[in-house]
Amino acid sequence: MRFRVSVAESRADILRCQYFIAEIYNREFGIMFSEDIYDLDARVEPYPHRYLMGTVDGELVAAVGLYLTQTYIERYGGVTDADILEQLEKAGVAHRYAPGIKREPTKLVVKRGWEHYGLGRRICYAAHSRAFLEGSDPRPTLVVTCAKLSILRHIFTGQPPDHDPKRIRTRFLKPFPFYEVHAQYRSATDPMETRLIIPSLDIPAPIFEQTLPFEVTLDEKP
Amino acid sequence: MKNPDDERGETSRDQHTEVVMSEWQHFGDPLPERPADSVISELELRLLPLDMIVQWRRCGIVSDMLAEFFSYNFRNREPARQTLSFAINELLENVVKFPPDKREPVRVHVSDYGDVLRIWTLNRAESRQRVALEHSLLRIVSQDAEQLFLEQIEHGAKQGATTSGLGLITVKKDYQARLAARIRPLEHVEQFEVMAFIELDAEALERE
Repeated sequence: MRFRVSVAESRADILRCQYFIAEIYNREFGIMFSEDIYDLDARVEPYPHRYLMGTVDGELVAAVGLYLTQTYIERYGGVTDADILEQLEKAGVAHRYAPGIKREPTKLVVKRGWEHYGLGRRICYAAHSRAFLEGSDPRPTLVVTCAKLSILRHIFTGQPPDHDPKRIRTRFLKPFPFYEVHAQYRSATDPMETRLIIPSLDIPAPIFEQTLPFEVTLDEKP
Repeated sequence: MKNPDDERGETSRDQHTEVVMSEWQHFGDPLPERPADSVISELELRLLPLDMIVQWRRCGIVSDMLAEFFSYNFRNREPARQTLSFAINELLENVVKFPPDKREPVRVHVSDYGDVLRIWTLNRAESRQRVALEHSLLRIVSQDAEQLFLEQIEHGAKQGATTSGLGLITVKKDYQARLAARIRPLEHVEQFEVMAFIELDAEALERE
């Protein structure tokens, strides 16, 4: 069984990704989407600007989006460029990155029945490739993310010495404020946080330099 | 109380529908039965909730379109259009949110009887949504609308969120609308078929 990861480029593929993400997000979290009206209190969220799709024999089984501008963490997380600059300075790379140039992978979904193949992490890591993050924009970009702790722990890794060198590391930015829209997602014991990822330091080269599209073999369904 | 299809004297599309008709339970304001030939103008849309979930703005687009269509039945079109759009949108957003399967079509129907306009939606719902709808209707029809409106705003402020549930109360308060629902259990699944109604006096719709 071959799992193919590719950028959604045609109108049909972008629509497929939007319907796929919206259906799962609505079922799991009661969220609706819009390109022109956003209101977290009314559970209406903005769409990502770019999509990565994961297919098996042409069937869409996983997807993830990318905010290119007005990231979720800025819009709703209260994270400022000053917060990011502070982290860049701490890491000694403030001269290499601009806090304003950042991308945010978002709306990671896996189709029901396909949860146990590790597709989530695979497609999420593909979303951290230079090819997907930068596209035709040659400027080095930062990556930001926000999720509940359990997801962050499942997908990413901690800072040295407590880390797995094959995984992407994240740097704590801020706790994510509480919004009603996340009531079905987060909990007191599993709060949401915003994190920063500095590609040259935190993304292992095989992940960052992964070209798109690519295919991997999956174990057959049990 | 009969289904509006029956009021129009239409034959139910299949025997199953006809059999289950008798099980409709009515909640909310009473809605008088109207003779089959009393409809002057009507329009019905069949929609996939998923299309609205994917682009939430479509709720407004559909409501505006239906309202614009029926506003031509009024001398004073603009206030009629605005109020109708608001009322249709209230039912439309619920009919999109409630169905457990967002790929199953729902119906939105508007009938103009001359003296009143009746808007209704039809969808499937699960038990918790049926209970929520019954509870909400009971509260709206049994309490003073002005008082309820204030309570709801206060509740929203305490929650720190925008006030949901204000729409139907506003329709009741500002336009003296009648609000009702008819609900029947579906066989073989733990779901219900829900018709939600807003009935407005034509006179109230034209008011500036």
